[in-house]
Amino acid sequence: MTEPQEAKEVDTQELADLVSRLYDLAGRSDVAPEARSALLEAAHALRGELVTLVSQTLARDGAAIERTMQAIDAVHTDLARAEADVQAVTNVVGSVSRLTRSLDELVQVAAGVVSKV
Amino acid sequence: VRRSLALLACLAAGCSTLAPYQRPVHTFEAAVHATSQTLGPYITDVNARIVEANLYEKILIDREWGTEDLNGMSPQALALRLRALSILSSYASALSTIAAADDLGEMRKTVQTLGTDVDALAQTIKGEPATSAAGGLVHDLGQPLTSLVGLIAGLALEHAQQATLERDIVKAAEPIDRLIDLLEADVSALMRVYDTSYAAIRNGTLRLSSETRKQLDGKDPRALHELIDQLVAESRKIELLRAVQMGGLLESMRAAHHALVVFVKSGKRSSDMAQLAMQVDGFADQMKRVTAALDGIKAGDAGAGTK
Repeated sequence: MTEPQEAKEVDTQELADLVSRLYDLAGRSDVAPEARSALLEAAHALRGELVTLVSQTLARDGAAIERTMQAIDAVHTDLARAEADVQAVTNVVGSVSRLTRSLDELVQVAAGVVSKV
Repeated sequence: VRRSLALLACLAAGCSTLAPYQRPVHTFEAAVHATSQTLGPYITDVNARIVEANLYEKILIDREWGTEDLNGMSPQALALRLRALSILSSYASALSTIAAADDLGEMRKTVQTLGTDVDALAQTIKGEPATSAAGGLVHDLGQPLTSLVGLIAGLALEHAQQATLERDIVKAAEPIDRLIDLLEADVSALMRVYDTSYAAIRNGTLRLSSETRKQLDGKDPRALHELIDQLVAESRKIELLRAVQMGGLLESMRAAHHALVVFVKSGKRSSDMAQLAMQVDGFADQMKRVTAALDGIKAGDAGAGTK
């Protein structure tokens, strides 16, 4: 049996710390000019990614979350019906299947955010 | 009319059952309002800092400026966070006015303000696709908004008394917590953007000052002295701004709000009261510390301006 896939998000705090450390290192006068330039390029690129990532966080995929919440509600409803009438148990299987698909979609959304960096 | 008479009767009797709530709810309101007033300008200003950092970065890496450097985050997404802050502030005001229970007209006005804020938020997000910044948030906030509208209706119809206050605190607890959670995560993320922008700005300022120094060396010692003063002041200001813990404000707000809900459900013993006071006062104290830090930075700016 496979373990359920966990929805992950990039730790923006870690990313921000890295950017700051890159800038600190790039600002030191004892670092060679070529190395400083390379560090500044890297800090610039990483800060751009952070801004993009936070922008995406602000524009959360609410639709996927909403669909998942509705799917959870549907499972609750169908379970309650099946508990009262065992004939209705097939509905539960169907609604659990839809919930699984919604959760998969949610995990993919999260994975998309992770692969962005 | 009957409800108004009931309120008047309650007022005449002193509504003593509300007494334990008045101070903590008022303190909570003041701290929520101050938090909103403090965080609002930061949310508004984040794009300016992003653009400033972009421009400095291009100097640092010797590249041309482009229109892409003038882009920040979606203004609609930021405006939604401001609206959410405004709703928290209106909610706290509504609770405080009910707890005071001494002015029906004021209570109605406060409730109307909360209603206006919720309506404005609904208008802002109306018609936005779910995949947009605004649409994404409305899906997240759908339940909070619905519950708050219900809260407004309840407040408008019911007279002020302990049961009403307690019921509304409990009823609003979940949506308000959700709103605080969303804002806390968003504000923390924005503060990270601020922090890295300041890191870029600091390096850029140092680079430009170094260029100026080359022009001044051996020619104008007085101007060089002024340049050093400016650089020290700017660097200190940036370090102070980076040290201010904005994200923690909403964490404290959530703890204080949670304590309020717990108190409502408690036996209201003196230990329950002490716990509520500790959390709410802790929130207010943290707000004061942030305000003091920001005032100190502003005073430094004013001092530099008068030099």
